Amino acid sequence: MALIEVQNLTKTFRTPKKEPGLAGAVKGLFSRKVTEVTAVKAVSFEIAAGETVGFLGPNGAGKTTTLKMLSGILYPTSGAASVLGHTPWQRDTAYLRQISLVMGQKNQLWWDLPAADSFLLLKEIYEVPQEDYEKRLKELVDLLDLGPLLNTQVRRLSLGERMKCELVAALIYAPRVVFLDEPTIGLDVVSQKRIREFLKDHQKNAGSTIILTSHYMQDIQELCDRVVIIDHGSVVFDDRLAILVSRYSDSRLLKLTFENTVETIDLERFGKVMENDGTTAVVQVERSETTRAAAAILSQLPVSDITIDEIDAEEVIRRVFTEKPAASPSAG
Amino acid sequence: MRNCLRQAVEFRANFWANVLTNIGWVLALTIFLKLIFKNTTSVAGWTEGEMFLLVGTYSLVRAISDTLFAGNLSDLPNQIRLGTMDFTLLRPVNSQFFVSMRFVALNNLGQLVGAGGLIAYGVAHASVHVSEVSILAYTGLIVCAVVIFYSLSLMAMTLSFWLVRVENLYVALETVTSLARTPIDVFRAFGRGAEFFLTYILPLAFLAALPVKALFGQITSGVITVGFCLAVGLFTLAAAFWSYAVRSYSSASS
Repeated sequence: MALIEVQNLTKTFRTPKKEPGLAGAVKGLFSRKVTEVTAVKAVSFEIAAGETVGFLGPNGAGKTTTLKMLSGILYPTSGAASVLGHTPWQRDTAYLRQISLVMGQKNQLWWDLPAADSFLLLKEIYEVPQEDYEKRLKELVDLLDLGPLLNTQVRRLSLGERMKCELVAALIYAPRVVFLDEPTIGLDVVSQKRIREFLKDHQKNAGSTIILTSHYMQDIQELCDRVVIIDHGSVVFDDRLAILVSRYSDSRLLKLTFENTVETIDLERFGKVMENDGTTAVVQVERSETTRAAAAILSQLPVSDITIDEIDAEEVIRRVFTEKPAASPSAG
Repeated sequence: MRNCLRQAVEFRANFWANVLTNIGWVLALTIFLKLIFKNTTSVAGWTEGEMFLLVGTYSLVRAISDTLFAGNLSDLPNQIRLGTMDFTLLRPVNSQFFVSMRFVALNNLGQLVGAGGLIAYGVAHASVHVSEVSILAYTGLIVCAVVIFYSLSLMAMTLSFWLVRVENLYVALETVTSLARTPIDVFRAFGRGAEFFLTYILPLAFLAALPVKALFGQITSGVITVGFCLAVGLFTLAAAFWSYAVRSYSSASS
């Protein structure tokens, strides 16, 4: 049985519609138009124990809403879900003890106190035995290189440092299921990488099941076995990342290194030249033509090295959201 | 608990400002009552000592409330508006308990001392014999009063799940409940209906006046039972309302 099972999960928000301007505001005091927004539409998926799954989708696609329902914060309008055998929104203590949610845009740490105090409070709330707590805290602090910052008030920490502390707070009680909602948002490249590496390590050692949402393709590429794409509240894709790329892209990239200078004009008959500086070039060819083009290039040009690559996943995702169904396999 | 103390001490200036405000507040009340009793000897049958007891008892109930939950509850609309409620709901503890008692406001200790002073002065000046039984009844009704005040506050603040922006709600609640500082007998002037309403429907009488009467042995055990039932009933109602409201929590942005 899957660790996480979600069936037809739907969430509709009712929001009062406010008309702009003073007149609109006054009118709104007496009669309000209520609009219904369906944030999540009949979403279904399954996740096995130990899997790391990435949720991808543009802003407002329903990723966060789904995570909030799975962590018991929001009550769904309809549908069912089971995580670790519990229904999340019943918020059983036994369930909440085993899960954790990190939100990149919100902080759960005590703003005016050092992070160490927040960890202690969490230790009490989650009833972590002293021994486990010390061992885990040491591990986490070492991995994230947090040592001296633990005793600094949270409001004096930088965003990156705070995010690291947030991760410690989320993992200090060794949850079995971890929901990460944009854990790298707003961070610089170095901090992003650091957090990614930490999560990879954690994944390997702790064996927890992770759902991750992110706008950064690299997070998903490096951490996730599987990707679920949500758009306008519905799941539009759910499979391995490699399959996504092969399904949604009808072409591949030939990366070439030459022994001596090759003009762009000589490459153009094989495919679309993406870049060429004379000694290295990237040529985009149709998927079905890949082998033939590669053979032709090898026999006709002074090639010293050739690699065949999939199109950048980021590019593929962009296509999924801009073109949508256009990229079915038959189109290629 | 320790974190609350740290939080309180973290802003030392704030801590002392709070203590000073409390002292000032007690002084103002004392002067106010003294002035009234310069001109009259009783208000609706309540003598000066009894009035001090009434005001002191009301302050005590409020001091206990302010220490335990008032600050937390008045912050609830903010939590809902900003979505930090998310983390409250995420914790493996009863969400109502967590929302109510998250920070124990230890800097309100000054208020407790002030209330104690008013009560002591009242007991000394009200020439009534206080028995052990009546002290027990008084203490019991104080507990009921805190529970009643808590339930009323929780229900009022729970409304913010739907109204979202209700910073004034708590102020309104405070204003209404401060009626409890006046002797209920005053309201008899508005007819029996008013007294009935304030005793059983919006039980402000139980917040201070009836506990004080219990201390004087002026009420029957029936009234004490009513107080107890009201406390239990209102608490149950508030808890049910809370769990219903949590279902309609809609969080805030991502």
